Amino acid sequence: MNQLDLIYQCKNNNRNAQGELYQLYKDILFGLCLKYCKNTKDAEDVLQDSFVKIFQNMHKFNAKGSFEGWLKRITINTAIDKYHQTKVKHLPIIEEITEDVFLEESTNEFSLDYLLECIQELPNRYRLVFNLYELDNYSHKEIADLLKISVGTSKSNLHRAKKILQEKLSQNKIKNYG
Amino acid sequence: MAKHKDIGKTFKEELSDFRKSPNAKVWDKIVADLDKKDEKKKPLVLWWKLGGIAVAILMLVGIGYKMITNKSMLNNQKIITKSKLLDSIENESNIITKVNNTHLIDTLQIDEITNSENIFVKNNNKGIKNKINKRSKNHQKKKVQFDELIVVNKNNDVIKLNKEITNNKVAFNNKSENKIDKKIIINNNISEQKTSIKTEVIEIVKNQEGKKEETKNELIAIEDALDIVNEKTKSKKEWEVSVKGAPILYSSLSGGSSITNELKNNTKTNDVTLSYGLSVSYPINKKIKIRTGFNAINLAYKTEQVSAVSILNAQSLTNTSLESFFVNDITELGNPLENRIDLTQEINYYEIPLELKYAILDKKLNIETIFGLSTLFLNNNSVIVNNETDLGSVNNLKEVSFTGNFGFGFNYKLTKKIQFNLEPSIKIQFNTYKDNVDYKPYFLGVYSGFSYKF
Repeated sequence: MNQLDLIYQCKNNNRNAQGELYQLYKDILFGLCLKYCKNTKDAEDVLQDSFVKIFQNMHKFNAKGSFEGWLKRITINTAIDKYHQTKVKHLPIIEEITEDVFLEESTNEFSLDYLLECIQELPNRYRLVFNLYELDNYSHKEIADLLKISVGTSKSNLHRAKKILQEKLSQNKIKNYG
Repeated sequence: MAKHKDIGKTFKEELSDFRKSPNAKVWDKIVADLDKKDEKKKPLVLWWKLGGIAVAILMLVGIGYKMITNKSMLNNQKIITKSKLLDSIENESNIITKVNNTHLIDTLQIDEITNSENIFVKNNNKGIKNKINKRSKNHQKKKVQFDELIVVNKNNDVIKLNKEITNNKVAFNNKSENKIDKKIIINNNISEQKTSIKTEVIEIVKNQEGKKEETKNELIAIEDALDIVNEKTKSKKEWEVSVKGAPILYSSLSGGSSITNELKNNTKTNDVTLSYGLSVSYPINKKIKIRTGFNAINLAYKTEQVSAVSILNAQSLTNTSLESFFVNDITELGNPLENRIDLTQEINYYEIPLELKYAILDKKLNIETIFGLSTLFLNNNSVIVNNETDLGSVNNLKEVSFTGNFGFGFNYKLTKKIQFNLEPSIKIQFNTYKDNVDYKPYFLGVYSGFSYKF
């Protein structure tokens, strides 16, 4: 079955086709969920909700854009919905952004799992802003709209997230090599 | 010196294509969720389908019932028991007495009702105002205005006539004191209907056989007269059957294309097609009529200069023989990527409307506004290329859909029974497509035809 056939069958609520589509995209979307959520359990919940949304809104997909892009957008939006449902309001607010956050380059120093863990440990909003901006190329304006915050807050949250990550990675380095 | 790298970039390089398999249970949960949502959805879809049919059936049953009950109205009135009548008179008189003590106590003589034949004339504003005293020796001309007339005859049948003859005038006129000849004039001015029913004159010549006999005959005469009035009033409630046809212009409020959004910018031409059918209407009151019927509708529009590529991915055409057309036919015409075709979509529906007609003007030329809903049952649909090759049908049309209808009716009375009708109307379709094509279809029609009143 080619992709268009598969999409068409899914639109017709064919469970086998839906299963096939799930097998094709579950890993990449679960990877995405893990980056946007604080733990595996939340990521599984978001993955589940995302696929239900995907199958129910299949008729809205027009073949113009990339299908994978569409799936990712739904998943990211679902993760953001979950964030809105469990929002913790008190985060340190705007702070001056004075410097870029750099890391001394040395490749393959950290395992993927460790990097993921660092992201997951970020406060919820920092994690979302960091993911949206750095990993998924959203603009600060788009992030501000999605998370219902100001552009300034988005920028400062990103900066703060990067600083936290930098500290974590540096500490880890010291642990390993110190 | 160590190179520096933006931390965001580091994460992006490492994690942008990060994949991991979720727990196998997640799929089971998704299926359970989908099943649950499907079950909720099913009755809703069924309801939409059955709804249209049910409304039509209910309406027909309703009209039928109304007809039957109208026919038996007079009969039912005779069944009202005397005790009920007495109760109602008693209750009403009590209420009215409280409001104004000066009224009517003298007129409510229940003994008289039980013992003899009587006529009571009731005016709703003033309670039971007058008992027409037939025993009065003073046979002078009396005029009584009433809202309700109650007649109790010798057999204890009670005939209660109301509403239908609201505001009628009744005059008892004794032509000559000596001859005891009587003339009962019922002058029926139904002002609300703005229709006057001409004066009915019934003359009864009687022998002088005593006052009881006189009263009895008088009662029968009044009964007859009122029957006639009732007949007249009832005859206003006429069934009307119409045959009509219309040229139909099919278009979209939003532009777009019903075949695929890819074609939304192509030029569309709207073929004029035909709708025809039968309708039946029945008056609810003087101003409002309810109408249903059955129409066949053909709709068509043409999308011009369609490129082969733009429709190859159209989901709505998946079931058509599009692919083989492109392989077998279009290649003969030239390069399939450059070739342009005209795509005509033809749709055929059966329509069951449920509409209200509100009279704005009721003269020889009658003008009405018409609004309501129609249920459309899809009969046939096809996509035709260059007016000759039938590609088959699209799969995005729902079997049952609806329209909101609005129009004006101009009806010219040719004879008492026959009218010529002209109805420009617009019907806006909704719930038409299974997918979300950006096409909000409507059709315009100028229906013309003839109607016959029964």
